[in-house]
Amino acid sequence: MVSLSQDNAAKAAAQADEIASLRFASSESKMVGASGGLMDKLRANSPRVVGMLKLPGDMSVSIINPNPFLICYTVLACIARIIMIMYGTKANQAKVADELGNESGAEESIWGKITNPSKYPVESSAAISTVAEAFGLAYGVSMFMAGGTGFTPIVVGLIAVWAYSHILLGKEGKDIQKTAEEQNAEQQSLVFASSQSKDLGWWGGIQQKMKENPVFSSSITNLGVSAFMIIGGLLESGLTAYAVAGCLFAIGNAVQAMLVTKRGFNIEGAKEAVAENPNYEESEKDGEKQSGQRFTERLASQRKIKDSNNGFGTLAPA
Amino acid sequence: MTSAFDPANKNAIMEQIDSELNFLVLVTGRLADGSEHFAYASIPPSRYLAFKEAEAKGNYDLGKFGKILHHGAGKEPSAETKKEMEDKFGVNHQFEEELANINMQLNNALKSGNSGN
Repeated sequence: MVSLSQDNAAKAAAQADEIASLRFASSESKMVGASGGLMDKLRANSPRVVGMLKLPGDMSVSIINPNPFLICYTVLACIARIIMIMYGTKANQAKVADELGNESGAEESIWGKITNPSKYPVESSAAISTVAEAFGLAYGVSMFMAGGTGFTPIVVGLIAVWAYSHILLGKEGKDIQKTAEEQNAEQQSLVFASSQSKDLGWWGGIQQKMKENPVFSSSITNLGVSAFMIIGGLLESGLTAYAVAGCLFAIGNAVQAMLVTKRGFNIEGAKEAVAENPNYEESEKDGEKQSGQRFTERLASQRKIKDSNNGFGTLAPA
Repeated sequence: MTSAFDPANKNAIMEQIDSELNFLVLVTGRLADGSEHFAYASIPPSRYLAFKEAEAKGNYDLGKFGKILHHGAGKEPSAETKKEMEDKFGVNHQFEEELANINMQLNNALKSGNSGN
């Protein structure tokens, strides 16, 4: 009887959070995102969606102007998008984590990330995109040297090269915090054992996010590049398709800015999710949930092996 | 033959949209007893405008416009609550700011592109 009333009390406490009515005399509200089946699918597959949105634009570049530099750009850019389409999903992340099981070890090097697209789809795609944009830049330089254009294509190319390389090389928030803690050894007039600071206000929040999320800052930058595509397509006669491709590029960059992070879709993120949240598999949906469940079941069985063997491996506690 | 503008079809389309997409909002304000309170709610698109109108008028029931996901006393949620909502419901507390930044970036780029041509 005692356990039954305790159980009922726990249920009542949980249900207290669920209410059907809440009357405000006055209020302010702000939108803090979107939910629903469509948004869940978009979140779980955002890199794939980004790849699909950007692919037509990449292909249109060399169709409109079959220059050797632009053909190289198109081939490499399409490979980068295909990587995002094939591996840029939560389902793939859970599947790779499941296959690797309890393999621990240091984070892969840059080259390791580039050559393992299934484990690091965002990073690998960004690396190939960087090389693709370098060919775009080379095209701009060749046109400039031939006197056929001004500085604009060169500037745009440089920005695009920076943007994609920043996705690959930039550190996400978690990595930045670790580095700051390690380096904090100097005596100051006011010494914090540990602290976290955030910029204040609207612009401060954005600046903080730009620092902590290289995909966000790079995507915002690439939005500007997309705008040049739209303008170029609209101004040049017969390039409506180029303008449309530019619009798809802009939408793709906006989705990427809002929803894509490196750790959200790579193997490190999958390992952290399981280590921090034993119910990781419950946060995945449909087929993704099954894959995550196999991973945690394997972890659970290997913990039992560790307990019985006294010293097998090092696993995160439940 | 019914058209897409037929009210019956329009309602069916809106219902489909509502089932696939909801707006997450963070409401902060005062209850009828004057106490400060906050609430996270999921509001379908078809009711969002009505919600904003009711909010502008004041003295409204949030539950009539959407599902209340979490609520509590206070001017705004604590950092722990915010983190929990981000993890559990995909809340992004800088959603409006990021949209504004994207919009600003596009506008700036379009303006500079036009002026350059």
